[in-house]
Amino acid sequence: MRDFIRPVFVIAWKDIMLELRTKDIVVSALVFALMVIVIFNFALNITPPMVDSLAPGILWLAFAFAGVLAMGRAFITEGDQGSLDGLLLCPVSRDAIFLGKMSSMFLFMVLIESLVLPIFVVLFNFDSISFKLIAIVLLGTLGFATCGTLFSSIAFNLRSREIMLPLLFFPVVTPIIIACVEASLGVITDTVNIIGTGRWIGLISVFDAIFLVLCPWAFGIVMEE
Amino acid sequence: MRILLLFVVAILLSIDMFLIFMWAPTEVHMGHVQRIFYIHVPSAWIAFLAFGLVFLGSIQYLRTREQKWDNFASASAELGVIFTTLVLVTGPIWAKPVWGIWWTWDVRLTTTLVLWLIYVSYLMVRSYSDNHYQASRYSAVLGIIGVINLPLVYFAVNWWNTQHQRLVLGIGSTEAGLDPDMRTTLYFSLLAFSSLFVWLLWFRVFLKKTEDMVRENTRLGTDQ
Amino acid sequence: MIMLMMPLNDIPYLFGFNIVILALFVGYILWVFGDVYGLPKLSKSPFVKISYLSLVPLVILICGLVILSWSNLENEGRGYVTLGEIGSDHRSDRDLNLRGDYVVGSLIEGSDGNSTVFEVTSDDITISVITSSDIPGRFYSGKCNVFLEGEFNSDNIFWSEELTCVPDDNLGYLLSAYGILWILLFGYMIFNSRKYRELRDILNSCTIVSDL
Repeated sequence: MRDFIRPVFVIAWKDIMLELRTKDIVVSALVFALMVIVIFNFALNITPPMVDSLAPGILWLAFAFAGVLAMGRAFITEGDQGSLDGLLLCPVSRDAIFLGKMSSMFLFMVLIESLVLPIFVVLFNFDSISFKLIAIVLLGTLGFATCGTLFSSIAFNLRSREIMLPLLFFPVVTPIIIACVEASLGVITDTVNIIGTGRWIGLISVFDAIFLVLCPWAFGIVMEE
Repeated sequence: MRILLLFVVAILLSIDMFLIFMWAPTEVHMGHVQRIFYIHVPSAWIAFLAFGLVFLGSIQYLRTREQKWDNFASASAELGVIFTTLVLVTGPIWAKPVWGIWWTWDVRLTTTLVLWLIYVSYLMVRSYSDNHYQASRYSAVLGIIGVINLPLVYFAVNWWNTQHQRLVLGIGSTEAGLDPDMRTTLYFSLLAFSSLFVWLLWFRVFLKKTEDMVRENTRLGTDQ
Repeated sequence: MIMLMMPLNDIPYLFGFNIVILALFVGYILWVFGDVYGLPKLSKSPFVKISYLSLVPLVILICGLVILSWSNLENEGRGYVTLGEIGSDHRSDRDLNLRGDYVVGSLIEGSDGNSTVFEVTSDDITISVITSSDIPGRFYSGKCNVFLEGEFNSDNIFWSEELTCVPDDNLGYLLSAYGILWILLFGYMIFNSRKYRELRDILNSCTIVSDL
């Protein structure tokens, strides 16, 4: 077990160290997320009565687009420096590599989201961030990170990689986006819904569970030489 | 032998056209536009069949790594995309005169749209890959993920619709209260479209086999 | 049951259209992919090629035309209305099996002995319904979908009403839907034929080189 967990930590730590030095991914994705929130505010012409129903959608759109941006960068630096080949040569199982990269990606996105959420609450005049909302954000981000890492490893090897990642990512991640927006809506607005927030969180959990099993296996196949 | 299949398809389609236009009764409320139903519904069933075959082909390819399974899966995916495109185009064309709207975020329609997007990206991955081996592997992975994702999409959109009480098209009721003659026409149309699909699949796999042959010959040529 | 009518003036043309396009489709496939199907080598003359390959779609076309004219022949002449009751929630699709029959006028015995008389002339859009029954009903007429729905007055009261035609203009949608089907199939075949031509050229040049 230790043989499996340790490489995961090492790989994740490597990515985090790299990021601490360059601050490349987090800063750009953070700024992009804020810009998305502002632009959508203007584009959707949000008036106070509409805020409650539209705000969660804008939040998750910001997370999704910023996440895609961040994930696209994840493998590019690896591949350009040739470090991906080095990584694959190590006697480490592909699952561990995947989980390591996924963990670092998850942490970056959580960092971005933890900075965006307070700004979001302020901009849209909500009272506070409840624990339920944080739980939803974490679960959703887990799903994003899992799928995103896999698809960016696929897209990285194709021509026009920048467009292939969103194209692959968004249709597959549709259930999570729907579920997260609906669950956030339930938590933020506290309305009584036909489909309870619990069911949506259940859907996110099922999605995460399925893809946490599926994606490492798929990553192993993608990374064959 | 090969030509027999083509003629069977042609004959079945001709009879099918006759049944659709000359034999099937006209619907009360919708009029003649309802005859689109006879290509819309079989296309949808054939499209889902095609994507199921992609799933099976992808699994088999990843297990055996034989090129024939990859050919089978990718040909099936191409046909699936074509038939899904047909469904997504004839759907609005039927809906506009009958229900007055081009589109609604109904469960089935939305799921079909997401499915279409997933498999269009499948085809794009294939064409954007560097080499054939990479293309086969990547698309096999996508084929499996696409199908597994489908129930999740269905439930998510279904609950989303229930939550927001969106318009649910009465497609189900049309099928439920189907006149026996209409049902016969529908099933025969399904048979004709299935034969068309089988022939197209065979044809495309044959072309891919030829491509493989050419690729091997060229490679052998450069090796020497 | 019913009593209806419906000359299908435009639908047969759509049927013919589909048969023609199907014939062209099969002909195109045989033309481009002839050697896949092991068609024997033809003489170089394009005229022979064309006439040979167009034989098959021509056969299909002729069969289609025969069927077309047969179904039209069947519908010629005047028919009559079948007996039956008109239910309140009646769907008149059963009626349309009497394709092309014009209702001249007849008496219908209702299930409870009431009678309904109606008359529809071929191109007229005025329909007079004379009834003494209490049973509601609805029916089509001529080229237009004319809905006459509701309760017919009872007890020897004649009721006539002028109705305007609500034409079923939606055949354009029908045509475009079937057109899309053929466009997709043709497009796919053209895409395949391009690939196939490239492959065939490469394979032929391979054999030539290996023969040297």
